Amino acid sequence: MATVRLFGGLRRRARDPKISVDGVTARDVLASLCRDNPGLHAVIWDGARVRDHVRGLIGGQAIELGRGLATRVTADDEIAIFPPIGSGGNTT
Amino acid sequence: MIDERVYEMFRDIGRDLFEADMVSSHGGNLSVRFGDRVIIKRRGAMLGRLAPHDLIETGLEKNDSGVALASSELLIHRTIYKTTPALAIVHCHPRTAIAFSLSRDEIIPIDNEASYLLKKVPVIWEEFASGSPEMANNLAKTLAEYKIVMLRGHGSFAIGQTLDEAFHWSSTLEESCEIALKTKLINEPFIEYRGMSEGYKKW
Amino acid sequence: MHGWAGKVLDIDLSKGAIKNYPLDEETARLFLGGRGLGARLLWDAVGPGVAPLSPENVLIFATGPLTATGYQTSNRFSVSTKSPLTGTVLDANSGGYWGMQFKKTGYDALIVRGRAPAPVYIEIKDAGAKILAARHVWGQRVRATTQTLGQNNNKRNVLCIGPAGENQSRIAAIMNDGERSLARGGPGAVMGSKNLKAIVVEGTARPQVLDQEQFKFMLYEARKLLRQSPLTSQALPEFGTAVVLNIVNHIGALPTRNFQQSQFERAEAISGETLAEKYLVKNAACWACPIGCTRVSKTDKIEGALSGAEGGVEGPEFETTWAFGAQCGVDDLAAIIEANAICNDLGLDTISAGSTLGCAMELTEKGLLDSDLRFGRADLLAPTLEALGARRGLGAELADGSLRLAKKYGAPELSMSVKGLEMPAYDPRGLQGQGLLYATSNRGACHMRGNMLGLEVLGLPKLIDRFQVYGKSSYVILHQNASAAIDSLVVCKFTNLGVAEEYFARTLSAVTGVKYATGDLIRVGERVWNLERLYNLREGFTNADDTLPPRLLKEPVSDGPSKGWVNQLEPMLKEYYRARGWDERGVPRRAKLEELELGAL
Ligand code: SF4
Repeated sequence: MATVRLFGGLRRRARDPKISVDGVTARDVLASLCRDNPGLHAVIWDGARVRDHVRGLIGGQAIELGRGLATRVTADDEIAIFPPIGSGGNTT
Repeated sequence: MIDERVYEMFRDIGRDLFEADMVSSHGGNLSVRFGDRVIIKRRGAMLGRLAPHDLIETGLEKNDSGVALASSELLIHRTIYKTTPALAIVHCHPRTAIAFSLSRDEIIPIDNEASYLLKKVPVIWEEFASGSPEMANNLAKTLAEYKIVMLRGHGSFAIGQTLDEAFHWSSTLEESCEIALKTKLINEPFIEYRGMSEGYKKW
Repeated sequence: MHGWAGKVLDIDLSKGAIKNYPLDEETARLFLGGRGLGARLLWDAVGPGVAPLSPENVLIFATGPLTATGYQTSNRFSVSTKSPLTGTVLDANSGGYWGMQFKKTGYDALIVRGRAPAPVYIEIKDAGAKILAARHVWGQRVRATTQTLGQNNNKRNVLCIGPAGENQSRIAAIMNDGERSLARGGPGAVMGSKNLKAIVVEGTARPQVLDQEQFKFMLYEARKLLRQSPLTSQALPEFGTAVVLNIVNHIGALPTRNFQQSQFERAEAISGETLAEKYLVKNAACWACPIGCTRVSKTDKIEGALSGAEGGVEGPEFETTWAFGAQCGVDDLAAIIEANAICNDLGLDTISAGSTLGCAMELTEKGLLDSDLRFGRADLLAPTLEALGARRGLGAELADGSLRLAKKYGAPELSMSVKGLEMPAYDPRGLQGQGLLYATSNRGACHMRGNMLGLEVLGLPKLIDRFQVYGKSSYVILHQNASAAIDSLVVCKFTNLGVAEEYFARTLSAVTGVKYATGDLIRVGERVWNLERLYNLREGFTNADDTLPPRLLKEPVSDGPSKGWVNQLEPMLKEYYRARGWDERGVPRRAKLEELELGAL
């Protein structure tokens, strides 16, 4: 069981900001996460792809720069999922 | 030695272009600008099957050892990098768009996605032989204003910050042209659904 | 002229002289407005050797050709001056209403020179400008001053300094519309040194738009793009900038306790999510902005602010939350909100103030400074800031920023600054490109000069490896140029999350009738960047100043996802100079200057 942490507006759509989820790959984990929390499906998936600007990180490293959704996930892994975020600061 | 990440980018986009029927076996080209260096596909390499040694690194301004192997289109790519803010270039042969380019001076998309992203795609003519400095300048000047341009009867040049971005413009254009082609088959009058659509012609 | 008002107002406070003259069309074409125009006017007005707090320095307030046209976020303006904190060229920009209102008085720019013999404020209306006595508001805080001088949202707008600016703190901000700030680099101190308390504007002249039909189309397209982008239609309105904190912390790039760590174990407590849940009253927006990223928040201790019935205060932005939070080891969000409110009322740059406190905390813990400040002391934020604004006790030493403080106590390396400007909330060891950006930024470490966060963390438009060094300079340069162009238009950088530069170029052409291709607009940015570089070189800065604090170059991150990394500045910097067309010492080559039409300088 890996741990998924949700951020921003994703939290409103799930039962908990921190959820234990089964799965061998990042794709499995996301799929079972959305099965248990159907509210997340529409904001994470765009067909078979993860939506643009939705960020997934395993241990602080971007999933898409590694092996993508095929990345292996172990029980100690923490997977963080962020919704789209607008960058920077604005007072200067 | 070319960075592994950079190679992966070329490999993936190259394969996608080939599989989407947007280049023939040896056609098309990709390049990126890194600082004052350019990385471009080697002459004769197949976009759909790029190996690490198929990429050549050379100077933006000056020739160096890599240049002999670089694609004959290097001049065009260098000129584009010097004239526009581009950091990546995708050149491909989208078939339907090429067909439209034969009879039009500009391609104005009629579908939602492409009007939203491209507005209008100019078609320019290879008055001089492909690869001549005049042609390179003309193409680069047009790309300072548009993110994708068609060379009549030849193919498209698209620019972006990354190869992904330039690929996005290229596939959007081809998709749009296929839609336009199909509307010709259906051959019924359009109901305009885009607000202020005159604006797209003036783009 | 279309777009531009076509006039410059020039006020000499020493002589009490008010002049105005036409804006030079060639200058306008080359530098647009805002930051670019400001830098160009400053080049002529303030030469080398002028002390930033002397009457010879000037303040240049500038709007751009799009300001007040009604284009999305056409509310912004900038101030340019020689920075009293860094000694470099400085510009700072802000939103709200003031910029739009100033443009409507019929001017593109205002130059303020000299020093008034006694405190004054300037009032500008359609009919002209007046210099008026400000004895009744001198000494007052920002909110009170703004109210006293008659702030009235769409009609009359007030820009002023607070006590920090009057006391010439080198990290003092200029505030407009009560809550918005021109913060970085100490422009408030320059205004204070001129005995200028406020500038009040009231105008009715809307700028002329040449091609109305095309302009309407551009407005329509921008509206569509901003609505379709999840960033501008959901992320910013819902959480503002504060939501960035968790992700920056998560990847190990949130500087903590004066950059000793790169993750804050209590990040969740000060995150945007917690802010929204506990303290958010509503969101707000600047003039003509459909995005509305501004937070209005409230705690038990905060009352009577300007924002109306809810009694909240604007902010805090992510940068501010970081500065008083992770940087000071503080996990009490209510105390951070209060610190932000105090800074806005005293007229202080929150990033520099928070970072300077963090520096003082480390100095104290290392036994170099004798004070009560310790990491985590949330209770000391408010009183210390009050003392800083009043230059009282320890506050007097903090008031001039972290570098002067750390030097005085023998440890300049503990100032987390570049060229003397405190770094914002991103650890360059975990974001290599951001480090290059900080090191080369003309006004000192700055995140608004082309933020790499989009590319290195958020994947905008496409994620690139944050640890990659090779090739980073290209992205940094493109973003620096683009942001200089946007700062010269002037529109809000957040528009750019949905609307590409291509649209700005076409809008600019439609408004002014001067043709700008996308490439031309980016070239304006490149021109501005090079001019600012020339300014700094003329002031005696060299490539040796393009660096980062030694901690970031030599002390690897000890834990977390960025573990083992330092910033690899040197190879990036070499590549950067070459790609910019500068020599090995970072001096722009003749050919580059000719190409940018800067040859005459
Ligand atoms: S996005 Fe935020 S800072 Fe920018 S104009 Fe809108 S409200 Fe102001």
